[in-house]
Amino acid sequence: MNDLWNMLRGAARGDRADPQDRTARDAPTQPAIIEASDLTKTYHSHGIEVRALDGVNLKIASGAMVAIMGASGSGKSTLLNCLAGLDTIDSGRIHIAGQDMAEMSDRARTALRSQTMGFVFQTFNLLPVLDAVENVELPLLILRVPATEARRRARALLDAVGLAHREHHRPAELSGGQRQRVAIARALINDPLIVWADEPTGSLDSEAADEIMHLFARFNQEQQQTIVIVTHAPEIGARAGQNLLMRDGRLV
Amino acid sequence: MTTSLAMLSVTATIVVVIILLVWGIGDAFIVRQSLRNFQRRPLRTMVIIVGLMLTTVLIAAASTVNATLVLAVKTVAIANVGRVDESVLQNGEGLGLFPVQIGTTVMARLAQDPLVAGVAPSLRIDGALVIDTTQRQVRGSVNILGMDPRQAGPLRDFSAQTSAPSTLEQLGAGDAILNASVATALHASVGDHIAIYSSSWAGQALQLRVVAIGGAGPLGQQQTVLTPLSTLQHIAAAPGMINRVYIANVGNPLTGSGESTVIARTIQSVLPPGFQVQLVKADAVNYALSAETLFGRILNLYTLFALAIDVLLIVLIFALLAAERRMDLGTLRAFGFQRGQLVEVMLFEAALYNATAALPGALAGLGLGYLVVTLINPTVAHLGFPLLVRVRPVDFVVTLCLGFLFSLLITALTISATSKLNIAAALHNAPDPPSTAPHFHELWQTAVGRQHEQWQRRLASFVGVLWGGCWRGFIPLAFGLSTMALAARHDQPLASAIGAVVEIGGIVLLLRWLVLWRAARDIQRLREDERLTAIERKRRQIDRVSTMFFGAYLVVYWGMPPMIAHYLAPSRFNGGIEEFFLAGILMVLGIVLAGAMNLSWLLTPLRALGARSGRLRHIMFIGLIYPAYQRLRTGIGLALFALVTFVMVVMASLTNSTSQRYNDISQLTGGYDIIGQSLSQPIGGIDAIQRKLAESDTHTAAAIQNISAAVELPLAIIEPGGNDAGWRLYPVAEVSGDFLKGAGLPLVARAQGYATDAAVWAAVRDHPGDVVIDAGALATDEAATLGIQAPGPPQLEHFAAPPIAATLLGPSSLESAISAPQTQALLRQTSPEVRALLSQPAQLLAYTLRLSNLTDADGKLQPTTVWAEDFRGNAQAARMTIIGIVNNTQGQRYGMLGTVATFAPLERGLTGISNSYYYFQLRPSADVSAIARTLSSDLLEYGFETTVISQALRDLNAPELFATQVLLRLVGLMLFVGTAALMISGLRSVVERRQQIGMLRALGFQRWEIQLVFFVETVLVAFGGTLAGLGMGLLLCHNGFALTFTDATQLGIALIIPWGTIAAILLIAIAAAAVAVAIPAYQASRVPPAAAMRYE
Repeated sequence: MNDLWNMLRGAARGDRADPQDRTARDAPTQPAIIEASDLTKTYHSHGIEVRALDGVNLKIASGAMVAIMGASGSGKSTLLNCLAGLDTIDSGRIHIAGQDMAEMSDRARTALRSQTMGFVFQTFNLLPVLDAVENVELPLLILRVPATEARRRARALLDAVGLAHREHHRPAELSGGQRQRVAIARALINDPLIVWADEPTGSLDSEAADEIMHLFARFNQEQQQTIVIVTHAPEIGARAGQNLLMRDGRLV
Repeated sequence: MTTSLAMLSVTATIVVVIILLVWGIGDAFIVRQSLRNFQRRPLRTMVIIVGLMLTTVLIAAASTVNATLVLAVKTVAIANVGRVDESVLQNGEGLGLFPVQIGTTVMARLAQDPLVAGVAPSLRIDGALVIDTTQRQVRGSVNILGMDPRQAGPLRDFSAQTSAPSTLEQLGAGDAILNASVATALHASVGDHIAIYSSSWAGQALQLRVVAIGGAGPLGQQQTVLTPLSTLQHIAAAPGMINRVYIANVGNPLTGSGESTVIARTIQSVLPPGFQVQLVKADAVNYALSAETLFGRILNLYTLFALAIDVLLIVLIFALLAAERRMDLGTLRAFGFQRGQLVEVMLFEAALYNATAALPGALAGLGLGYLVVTLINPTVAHLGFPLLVRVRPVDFVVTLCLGFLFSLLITALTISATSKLNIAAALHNAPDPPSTAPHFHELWQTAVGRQHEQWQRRLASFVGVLWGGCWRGFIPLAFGLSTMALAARHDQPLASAIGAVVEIGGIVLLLRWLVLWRAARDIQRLREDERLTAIERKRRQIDRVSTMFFGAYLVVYWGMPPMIAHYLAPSRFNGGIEEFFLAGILMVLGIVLAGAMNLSWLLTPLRALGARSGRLRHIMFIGLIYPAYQRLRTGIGLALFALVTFVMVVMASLTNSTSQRYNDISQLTGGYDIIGQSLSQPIGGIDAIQRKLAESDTHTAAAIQNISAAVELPLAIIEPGGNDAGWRLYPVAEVSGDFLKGAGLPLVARAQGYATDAAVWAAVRDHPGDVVIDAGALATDEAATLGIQAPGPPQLEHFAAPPIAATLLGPSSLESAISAPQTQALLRQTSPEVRALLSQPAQLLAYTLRLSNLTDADGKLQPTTVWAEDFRGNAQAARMTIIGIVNNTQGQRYGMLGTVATFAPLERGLTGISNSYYYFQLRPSADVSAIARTLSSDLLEYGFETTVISQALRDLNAPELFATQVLLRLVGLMLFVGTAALMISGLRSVVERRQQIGMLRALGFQRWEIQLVFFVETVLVAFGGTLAGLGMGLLLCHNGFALTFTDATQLGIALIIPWGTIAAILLIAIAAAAVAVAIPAYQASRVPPAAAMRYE
């Protein structure tokens, strides 16, 4: 497992472009960390078929900040879920840092997620039973990082997102913006290659949304993480380096 | 009673159904929404229905088993008394002869009575000795019956098993019909010659030829020889005389006794003074049912606990359903739905679940009851117990209706409680914020102070004041104190105990409120945005401490040993299942309350351990945190498992304790196989038996390993150094043979100076005056000092019966222990006071010996002096020294035992007692029945009656053995409920936490890790609950048993905890939890992360 981890990190980090060179990251000229070809996915229910992904092809460069945009029902969240290995595809290929996701077992996909990815969702998806710092350190526990080290890093990240004073508050005791900041800290705690964010500002007011996007931009610049954001809001898309527009299950 | 209950329950069910239908017709939305919810998730609907079914399953199973048990007990009782429903007899002593004309009058009066099937004037001679000279077998205590067959009807039906003449009319003067019982005992066949001896024709023998072997006969399973009335009148020198008129009612032998009172009244009208009509069958059935009462009480206790468990299960189901729907309910409320309308929608839906569950539940319960009884059949087949599953339609209807109504009631209460929600919090699926109820004094003002207030507001405020008063502890405190005072005045321990519990609860609430009030003042100094979180945290802390204290109080109060309770607390028990039930429920409540509220603290060590569990660390981290967070669910889960385990432990202990005296035959028999007694002339002791056998039957002699003998002596005993020095009664036996080597009499304590048991027995043999005594003679403290669990004190029969297997109703002289002629003669020599004592068991208890000064300061048994004298009064007293205690933990043997030389001085000048009982222990390979038969044959000249002890004990205890087997299996059903509850809880948990599971999967939890998380959670709850239930069960059994449930002082039952069974219960409970978690865990692991994220 560690070999996989090192290999992935090497593949991803070794060829990273200069963080200041936005052009290089904006266009897929850098080695692609996410590569998908001919993705299809169809939902079936009681004889009705809905094609959610219809031959999607894309490449996302390492360290890029990409917004996948489109109207409701266009398939953008499905695309994110499939790319992140949260959902399966009917056909096509997905390569994450050179690894073919379609060929992987569920076990390997899960391991890949825990080591290389972070997630932020519209509904925050924090575990209500854990307080802020426990939520943040959870991915490190899965990776078997020593408890004291995990706690130190979680605190540091909470500090970085401005919530050091709320570390022992449970999600129910935090505001929406604060919860999303905890979620971002959790997404970044394992130093992921890719952060997936599905409508991360959808439940927030404009001020909180702005704060969140600022955090994404900051981490993208400082940590060189690839950030893929699904959104239908043009103002969010405008802050990403690259926009992909989806319509009827296709990238247009 | 049952019929009126059925009417009531059916009426109530119909009314409830009509109300629901009217609701539905009046509001189509309710019906539409309910049906939609009902169909929406088939798995969830199925789980709920199965959960609700369990209510009716348990009640129906218990009802079926109870009905079967009652039927079986009745059948046995009726089989014992036979076809006779009523019997006319003359008051007075002796044979009670009266002219046959009385019988004729009764016959004439009842000739046209449609309720009567047969009348038979009869002469019955009891306690005869029958010798089958062909088979060379002897049997005592046989009834000899002569009957006028003209109008006998079913009474003449002997259900002949042979083809020989079997009707009374066909019997010749020298003919006899044997009923099955006596025929079996004598191994008799048609054509055998029998000789009958009786004190009614002393010096003569009635010689008869067996012409038929009958079935039960008019006197049922009582050993009966039927002979022509004239033959019996002739030999008894009572021509034209009878002493009974037997009447058989029409109809089913089981139900015929229902008309006995009417018939008795009719007969009484033609009888002269001095005659009475005995309701033979009704009395026998009532007596048998009262003997069944102990098991009935256990069954009632089981049903009560089953209902309590059901309540928890239903609350769990609907509380979880309400939690799942919280967001929907919040939305409906936001759009203008009244709370009442929400309740209506959910209640209608719940009624659909309940209605669907009731019938299958009742049928399943019935089937389960049938299965339990059927499974037991092979186990009890050797007892010859009539095992017919009985299902009365009326019981079924009652179960069905009550199950439905009970479930619906609990459902309604749960829904009503859970429908109260904060709309904003529900909409965002956030926890409810702290209460914003008006201040207490404002409510008070509105309720009573302000003028012109609307009555609705006034009422609501008044309820608010009451509620506030409860939460602040004032009302519980006042209620508790006044209840205690009233209970003390009317001597009601149970009410007093409840008052004490409520009072302490009030004090805890009052302190909680005061501490919280004080904390709130400090928190006011914090920043505004921190106050709410701070006060909520403080409240949680205070709640933890208060529940910990109150829970611990409940456990300690109900579980404390009687001795401590006597000094510290007012009386808690006065003997009854409701107290046992209440104690059990409150103890479990106490430990669950304290445990569930403080789980996060209690789990700290486990979490620390989990943090060191390497690869499993994150699994332990998540698995251990959910139970502490979901306190309600965890609490109900813990309570369910705790209650299930508690009930199983208590039930297993109760049934084990009650059945031990029936089940462990070798304990009861002391290892002896045959008991024998010479009924016609004294045999002359063990040596004479051995000599006789050596001469005539070396095969039998070789098969015998040990022979012992005992003669009961009527002695009074005094312990001069005892706490209660005074003449007291206790069984005493003069023993000889292998008894004096300890065979069948294991010692449980030896006096100082005796290194081995053999040394004790050598002293008893060789030093007149040295005796041993059984543990039942010890005072409780002395027994405790010696580490002996003493049984209850001896009962009446032990005073005139042999030291081992005294309750055996087999050997003739034991069957009528006190009324046997010899014993009667013996009693006539005693003072009226002693006679009164021996006929009054309650008074006997007060005068029973309780040795209290046997041990020294180090708790060692010292040789202890007592004095004894024969209570027939010859002014001879002798000093005895007790040097050993015979093990009698299960009350199987009683007496102070010594040699002939020890007791001889006391018997000087008194009529000798020749009533010797001989015990034979055979070599392992010997055929016990065959040896019993040959022994009787070899010693025929002495009228030597032999009985196979184990068989007689099994016959005697068949109903109890059966009941025990049934109860043990019924208790096992409880575990189904616990398992189902865990499964339901687990499945609900998967549904509720689908999104969180998805997130964990997204973060990197493997499928097996998710499964393990669920396993850890469930096993934690199951193990915690099981341990709590086990602890509470053992505590209550140990400390409450003797004083309460089985009323040990009267029944002579000692608590015997079945450790093996309890270990099995623990293992099964944990295994059941593993099974319960399997499906939810599998479901959880199959949750696709992306789908879970979408799930709402």
